Amino acid sequence: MEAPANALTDVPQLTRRMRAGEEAAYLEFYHTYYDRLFRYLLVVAAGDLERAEEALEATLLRVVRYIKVFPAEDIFWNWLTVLARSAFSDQSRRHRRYLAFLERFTRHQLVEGPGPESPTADARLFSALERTLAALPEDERTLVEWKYFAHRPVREIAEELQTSEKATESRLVRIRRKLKGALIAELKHE
Amino acid sequence: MNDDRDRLLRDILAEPGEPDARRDALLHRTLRNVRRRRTLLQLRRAGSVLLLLPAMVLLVWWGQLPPRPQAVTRQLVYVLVRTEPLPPSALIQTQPFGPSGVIASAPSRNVNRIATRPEDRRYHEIDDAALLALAGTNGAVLVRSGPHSAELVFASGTMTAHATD
Repeated sequence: MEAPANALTDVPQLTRRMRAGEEAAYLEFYHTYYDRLFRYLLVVAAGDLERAEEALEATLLRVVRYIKVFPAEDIFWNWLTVLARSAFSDQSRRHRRYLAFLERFTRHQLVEGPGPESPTADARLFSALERTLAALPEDERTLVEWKYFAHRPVREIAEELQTSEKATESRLVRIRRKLKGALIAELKHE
Repeated sequence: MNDDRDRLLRDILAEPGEPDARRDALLHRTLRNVRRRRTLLQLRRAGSVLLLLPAMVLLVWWGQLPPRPQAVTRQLVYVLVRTEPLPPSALIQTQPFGPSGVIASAPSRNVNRIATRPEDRRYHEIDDAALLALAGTNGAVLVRSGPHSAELVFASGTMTAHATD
């Protein structure tokens, strides 16, 4: 199981400072939880990037409005996921107002129900990533592995491929875009 | 490995051209909300103080008002004394004597009453001449032994009378 990215964060202190309206505390919170929340919402939104982004913004707004002091990280994260699901549900209701009755039912299920657990959501995302990586052509997958797993500088990769740095960067951008599309399609079809 | 996958995932999900633009924009909006929220809380606190201030001024003013004349008069005219019944242990009760405890007295006919009268004098004093006259012809001599004592001695020598004043 994946360790939380913010295991070293002093959550009681952080949330106390956030409650006091300290901007530095919000910066720390943002850098610690942004990616985690966004990925969680991406899974909740079944790969709908736009809705995940909107829900993330609404979630952060609710964090500012309702922040309180939390004694432990796991309790804080659970609270964040409830806020995120609730924000996503409200966004969905706005998007599909004509199906209000059905939406209320969905919202009830989304907010009141357990929702995807954070490890489950992460696991789903990473397993989708593994599948999309595996589906890449050999040369593209190798490029990604050199860059992200072997930590080789772009300049060195370019030399190896006997091409320019810029061309290598452009190729990496195209591969990431391809991966993103495949990843989102995976989440949508899960 | 997890960190590598994290980094890859973050780069994949970021906007292609400007990877941090979306993050920065959202951070900017979040911090703006934080400032707005802080200002709102400060205003709320200030509002509470502004509401409390007139109430406190009113209380102080009320406390400094002179006391009502009626209240002063009351204090000067009397002192309130509160009474309460004594406890049973502090009470003393009396009851009438029985027939055996009463002694009655009545005038009795068996008792003689003796009365004295201080001025009842049955004798009278005589002077020396009267005394000598009483001796008659027997011849007597009055021998004075003190200012208030004298002895009458008869010449025959058989009778002597002694007298004291």
